[in-house]
Amino acid sequence: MKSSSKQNDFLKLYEPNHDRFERFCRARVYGRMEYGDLMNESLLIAFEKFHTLKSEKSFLSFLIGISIRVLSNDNRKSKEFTTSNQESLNHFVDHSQETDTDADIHFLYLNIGLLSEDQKNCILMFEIAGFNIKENAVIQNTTESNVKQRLKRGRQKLSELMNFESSFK
Amino acid sequence: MGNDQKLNDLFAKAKGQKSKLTFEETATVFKSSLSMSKSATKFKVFTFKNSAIMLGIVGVILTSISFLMGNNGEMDSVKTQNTGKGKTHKTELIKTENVVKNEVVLTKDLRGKSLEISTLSFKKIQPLKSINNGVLLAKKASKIQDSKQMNQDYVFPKLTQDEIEANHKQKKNMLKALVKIDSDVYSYIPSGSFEFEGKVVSVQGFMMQKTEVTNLEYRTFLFDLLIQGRKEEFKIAAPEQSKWVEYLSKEGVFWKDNYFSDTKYNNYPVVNITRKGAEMYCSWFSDEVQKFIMKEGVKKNDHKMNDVRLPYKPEWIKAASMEGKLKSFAWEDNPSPTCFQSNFSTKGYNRPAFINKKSGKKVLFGDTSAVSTAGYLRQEGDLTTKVGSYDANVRGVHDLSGNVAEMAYDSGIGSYSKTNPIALGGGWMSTEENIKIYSKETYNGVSEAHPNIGFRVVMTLLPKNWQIVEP
Repeated sequence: MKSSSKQNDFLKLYEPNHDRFERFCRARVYGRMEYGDLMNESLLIAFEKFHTLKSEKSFLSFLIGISIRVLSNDNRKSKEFTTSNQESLNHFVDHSQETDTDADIHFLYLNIGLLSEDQKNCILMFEIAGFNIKENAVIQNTTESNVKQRLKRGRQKLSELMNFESSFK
Repeated sequence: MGNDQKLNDLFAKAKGQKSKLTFEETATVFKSSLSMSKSATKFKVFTFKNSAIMLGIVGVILTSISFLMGNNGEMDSVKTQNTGKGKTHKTELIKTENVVKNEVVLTKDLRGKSLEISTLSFKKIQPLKSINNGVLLAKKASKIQDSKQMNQDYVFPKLTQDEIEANHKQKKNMLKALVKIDSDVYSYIPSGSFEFEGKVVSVQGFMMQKTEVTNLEYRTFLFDLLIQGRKEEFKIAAPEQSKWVEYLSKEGVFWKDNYFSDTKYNNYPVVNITRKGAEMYCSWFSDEVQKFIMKEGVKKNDHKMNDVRLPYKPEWIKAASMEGKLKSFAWEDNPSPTCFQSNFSTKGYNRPAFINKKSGKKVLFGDTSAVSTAGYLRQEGDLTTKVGSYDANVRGVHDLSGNVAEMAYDSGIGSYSKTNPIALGGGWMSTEENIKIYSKETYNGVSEAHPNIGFRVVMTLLPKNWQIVEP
């Protein structure tokens, strides 16, 4: 009974944060692993450590912090696969109807995947999950100026990678 | 526009994009993973804290093995090999007499007890892939199938409390959508006459499910039967998953174990169900709606509904052809190539070509990575797609052509008996020609389960004080 109410409380708290968390996870591991797996694994750990959550307001940062650690701890890099070959690409089905927007976002996420881990985390938390620089610094356990620097360099590199004259857009 | 501005625009788009994995889907997977990890933890405590009990069990197993050996002839040795990465164990028995009999009994015994203990005791909290509900249910589903084939005692899946609650919730959502005639789920096809098979046919207005019935919906029905104790009906309605292997041979093995049961395929159309199963689904749905209305009271905008059922051929053709206006596909008024519009087998299909601006070369669609559309080209049309992946027709109905062929009745013009089974619109295994509205591939007389056949439901709808009649 107790665990069921804990589960309900947890999901209640999670529901309003779902969209932001989903976007973050999807962008973070785009084309390299199933973001649903990352989400579920992070949620399970978050549930286990739910009692350590100090404030309900920081639930999303709590979740994202866990997902970042999950990725680095499991050394997922070695298991990663890429979308470079046609066979694996064909497994990425986009089910929405907004084709143009989806194509743009597809390339954005692919290129974000090429940034360094720190830059990737900073950019995604700032631009996609909507955290400010201060919150970003706390989650990543670094200074605000570091976050600013990573954002600046990350965006610069991303601009180059995006090559806005690509023929495929 | 500067690059910075372009980036900002892109981020704004990404931020505004709808989530592809809904909260409900995430919560379902999370709950089932949680229940699995709990049971795994229980075993962990059991084995590590009470090692004495463990040793006792091992002792009993060894004793029973030696007892069996003593009773069934002489055995020279028992070798246990570890083949592969610590996961696959093979027991090799060398005997002089009763070889076959002994081998079966002992292998079963070792696998059933000692191996189960060793894998469970080292189980940690695992990521979704290995412990999600799908795997659990897949095991349940394959058990069902096996026992069906072997004609032994039927093994029914045992639902946990969480699964039962989730099933009730899903059922309630389905019933609510029907009672309130949710426009996201059902589309109204107005009454009217149109030319059909050379005659003018009148069809009464009806509601049609916008998408094909999904695995999740069908599973909800099956599990509800189980919860209600209607086990015989469950056995009849359960999908025949062996059909995957029958039609796809080796490639079908994965789908046999996962397609219906893994939560990842929740929103894919249900296939491999018999006509009888689909009709049972309809009648279950009708009964449950009546119960729901009695319990919850009648909704504000009173309508009277006839029973939920499969469509008759004129109804289906009317919905797909826009009252006979469209002659080949349900999207004829849209000029995009077929591969953008529907899921079908592209064997022999002329793929559209693009010019790569950089190289100036011609690229066939499907050969370039610049594909991120719902209707991306499957070169061999290798599976169904999530329902609603492709654009709907003007009435808001998806996948009338392609994805799965839909069950209907063809009892002739003016007759509304639920006989003469057909399946219309073609599916993922059909060619471009066979997904046309008036295609000749109608699976005439086929009532058996098939991986290319699914269904969607319709119901006649009448304003409150109208007399209820068949269309």
